[in-house]
This record gives sequence, C-alpha cells and structure tokens, in this order.
Amino acid sequence: MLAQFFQIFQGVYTLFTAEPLVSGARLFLIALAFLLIYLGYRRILEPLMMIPMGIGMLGVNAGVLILSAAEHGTLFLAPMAADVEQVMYALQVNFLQPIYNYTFSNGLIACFVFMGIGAITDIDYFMAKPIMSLVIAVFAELGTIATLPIATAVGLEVNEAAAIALVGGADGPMVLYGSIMLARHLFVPITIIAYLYLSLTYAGYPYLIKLMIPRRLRAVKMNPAEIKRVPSQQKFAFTIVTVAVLSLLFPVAAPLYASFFVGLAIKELGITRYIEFLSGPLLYGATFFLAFTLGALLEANTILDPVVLKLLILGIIALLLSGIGGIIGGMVFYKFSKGKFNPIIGIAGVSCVPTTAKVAQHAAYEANKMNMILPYALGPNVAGVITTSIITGIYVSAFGILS
Amino acid sequence: MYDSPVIFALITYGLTIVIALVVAGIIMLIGWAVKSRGQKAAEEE
Repeated sequence: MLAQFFQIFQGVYTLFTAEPLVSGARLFLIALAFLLIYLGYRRILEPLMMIPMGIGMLGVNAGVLILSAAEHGTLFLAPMAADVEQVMYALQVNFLQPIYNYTFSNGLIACFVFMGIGAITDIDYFMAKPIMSLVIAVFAELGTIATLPIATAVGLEVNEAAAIALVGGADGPMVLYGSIMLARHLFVPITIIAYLYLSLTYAGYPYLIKLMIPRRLRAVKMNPAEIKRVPSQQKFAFTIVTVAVLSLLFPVAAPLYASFFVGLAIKELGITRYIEFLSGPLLYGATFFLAFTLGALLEANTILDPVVLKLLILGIIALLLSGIGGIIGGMVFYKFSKGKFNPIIGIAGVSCVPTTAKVAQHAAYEANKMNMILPYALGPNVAGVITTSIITGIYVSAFGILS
Repeated sequence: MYDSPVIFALITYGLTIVIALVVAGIIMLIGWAVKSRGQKAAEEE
C-alpha cells in the first residue's frame, strides 16, 4: 500500500529504488544544476548558457520515472536509441527527441550558431592586421595541439583525444561539431565540459595574464586609430575565396565553414533582414536549445563513466596551454615591435569570441586607465576561429567517423 | 603518421601554420587587387 502510494511520486520513488551510486549521481547533478543556475543568475557564468542548461539538468535528473519493471528513464530524450524502431518510439515519447535527432546528432545546431556568429563578427581588424592576427592565433592553438598526445598518453583513443583537445580552441560550436564527428559516444561530456570551462575563462585568464606578463608590459599603450578600415568589397571577396579554399582542403568540415562564412558574407553585403534573422532568432534560438538539450543529456549515467574525470582534467589542460601559448605569441610580438606591442593581446588568440578580447581589454585597462587595445585584440580573436576550424578539419579528416 | 600522436600533433601544427599563411596571403592578394582596381577607376575618371 505504502509502496503503491509512493509510486505516484516516481521521481522520489526511483531515487530510493535505483542503485545507490546512480541515485547519488542524480542528487549530485541536481545540486550542480542549482549551482549553475545560481552562477548564471549572478552573471558569474554566462546566463545564456547556464540557465537553460541548468534547468535541463534539473528536469532530467529529478524527473526519472518507471518505464518498465526493470527500467527507469525520462521523457526528455534517448540519445542511445539506434535502430529505426527505437528511434521512432523515442520520437513519439520524448519531447526533446526531435531536437536531438534532427539538429544535434548531425551537428546542425552548431552550424546554426556559426551562422549567427558569422553575422555578428566584425572582421575589419583581422583583415587590417592578418599576419599578426593569424600568427598569434597559431600560438594560441598550443592547447589544441599539445593535448592530443597528452590525452593518448593517459589512455584515450586517438579520436577521443582529438575531440577533447578541441576544447583548447575555446570555440563551443566547433567542439560540439568536432566531438560528434570524432567521438560520438563522448560528445555530451566533452561539449558540456567545453561550455563550462569557456564560461570560466572570463574568471581564470586574468590571473594567467597577471602571472605571465609584468605590469609594465601590460601597460603598453597602443593607438587603435592606426588601424585602417577595410573596404566592404575586400571583406566580401575574402569570405567567398576563403570558404572555397577551406572547403576544398577539408570537405568534412565544409558545413562549419559554409555556415560561418555565409553569416560573414551576409553581414558584409548588408542584407538587413537576413542579418536580423541570423543574429537574432537563429543564433539565440539555437543557443537556447543547444544549452537546454545539453543539460537534458547530462544524466547520472553520463558522469558515472570513468573517462569523464580524465576529460575534466584534459579540458582544463587544453585551455590553460592555449592561454599560455597565446601570451607567448604576444610576448614574441612585443619583442619584435621593440616594446610597442601590448603582449596581453596574445590571450585574444584563444578564439572564445569576444570573451578573450574583452578579457585582454580589461587587463590592459587595469594596468593603464588610458589603454584601448580591444580593436587590436579582435583581430587574433577572429583569426582564432579560423585556425581552430583548420585544426578541426585536420582532426576530423584524420580520425573522424567518415575517415 | 597516425601511429605516433606526437608526430601527428607536430604535423597538424605545421599544416595549421601553412594554411594560416595561405589565408593571410589571400587577404593581402585581395587587398592588392581591390586597391589596384580602385586606382585604375580613379585614373579613368
């Protein structure tokens, strides 16, 4: 009688009838969801991601019910549904299954985000200083490169190592797309780790800057008025030629390139209605469903996989190395310019657009209240998206599901 | 090449540098083409 009564409240009932480890993981994730929502609410972490992701996590970990005598589950989604019958059943039962099947498992949602990012990205400063921007961005890929052998050394398969190494590129949609293509079974923890850590760059990188760059160098003044404006036709021509070249080189990443550069091209052409659509409803709609569905994918069984702990450590190594690499790049330019280049700009080579550029500006302003380096920092920031997409193309071509 | 992750990582870094320089080259080439076209148009006027 009492058991039947409690079966009405299945979320609680399943908490007591499941294995203790699973129930413990559920409770941990519910607590983590509360923490993420709180940090998003306080604007310490990015609320655009943390609020939907946290509520998705809450729903999926609290709302566990009895599916059959031997099986507990949710009405959110079934990512492991593989054969046609399972998928058809899941589509009719789980409310997020259509989003997952039609936009996640093929990387479409990452492409939507990229179209939106393209439509709001200003490539003026990148094109005005292409060599400086790209060289710094290459330095700032240190984590994306070095984490691959480190991850294989700790026991990951090379495709899994490549997927977690992409966190070093600090580009959320790129990590999502790359990890789906490289290690589909790990794309959920890798993408969640990426988005959590990307939120933390805002808090962590300023300390790295202070640790590696003396105040005297942080205070180096630069004059943004020296940067020449680039004609719109030049920017438009660049987007068209570059998307063709990169797609020719890495067809497996062509959807990403096409998505990013179509956004850029539309922005440069000034097609207002498309710009409004891509940078508004599409970008924010995709970001919302990306975060909400990611949260719903983060259920107890995901974190009980022992590989997740390795991924957590490797993700932070990747981002740390990329930050260090970027600052080394900044220091190299400082030396070559005989002290006229502010080395903080190096951190902006980590392509977390525009967060790392803002971090650079903030650190420069702290050292010298008259400092304005943001326009210079936006160049390597955009270049970082391009170099990360090149590395994603190489990794996916070499180890992806289609290789 | 794929057997050693260290060598593969180094090759990837090298390829990234080369392709990044190609992208920089594209930008400079387009910049030069747009500039010379603009000069030509100005001369014709």
